[in-house]
Amino acid sequence: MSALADFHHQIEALRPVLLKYARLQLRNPAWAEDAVSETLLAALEKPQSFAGSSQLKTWLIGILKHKLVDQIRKNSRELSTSATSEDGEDLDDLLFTSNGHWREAQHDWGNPEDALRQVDFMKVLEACVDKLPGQQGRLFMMREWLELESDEICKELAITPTNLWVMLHRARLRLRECLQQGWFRAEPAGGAT
Amino acid sequence: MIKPMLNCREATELTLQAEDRRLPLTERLAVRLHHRVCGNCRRFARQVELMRQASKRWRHYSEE
Repeated sequence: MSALADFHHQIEALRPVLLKYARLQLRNPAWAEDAVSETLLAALEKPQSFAGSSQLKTWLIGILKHKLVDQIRKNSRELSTSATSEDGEDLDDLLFTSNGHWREAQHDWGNPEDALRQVDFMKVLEACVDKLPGQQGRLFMMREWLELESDEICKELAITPTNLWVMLHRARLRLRECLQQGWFRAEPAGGAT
Repeated sequence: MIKPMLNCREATELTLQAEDRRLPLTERLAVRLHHRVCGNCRRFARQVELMRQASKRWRHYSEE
């Protein structure tokens, strides 16, 4: 196999993983396909910009992140209008009594290093992000995975800061609930090991 | 405007907002004061911190 054909092959092999993150970010299969195709095309057009100093996947994810921002810009009208429509029940009322106290005692999640070092934990986290409702998931990913600033997100989607905080508040509470169920509940009490 | 004493729901809201905006000093102090007397909210804040670290680790994991 020639070096170029080999390069094509390696890039194509990473398509599924790129698609996974594109879907997590955009929550729209067609847009995700577009972003990934554009990423692979950009990579194949200038293989020379892959210096080989970093891993191929790192380089491709870097390109993908730019293409995802492009897709968000292109579809911003649609994204900003769905900002309040589909986010399900408010967890706050389940967590707190009417006078604002916790209904249940909160758990100690223990030493983070223990969890964070494990690939299994990353998989649980990924599954929990995947379960977030569309707009909450999109905003959470923009903030935590694309690392956009809050004001950048508001500008791109033409939403108010208050709207953004409300959605991220819900997303983070849901994520916490999911991690509690999917990971920390299985740990011994107090996180002792 | 912020009340001198937060309840848990309010303290939780500010703890979460602190992930996405810089809280003014009055709000930071109000949260800190609440945490001094509330173990549940202290534990909640540590969970939020762990989630922040987890997101960071996940970013790296996704690129490796």
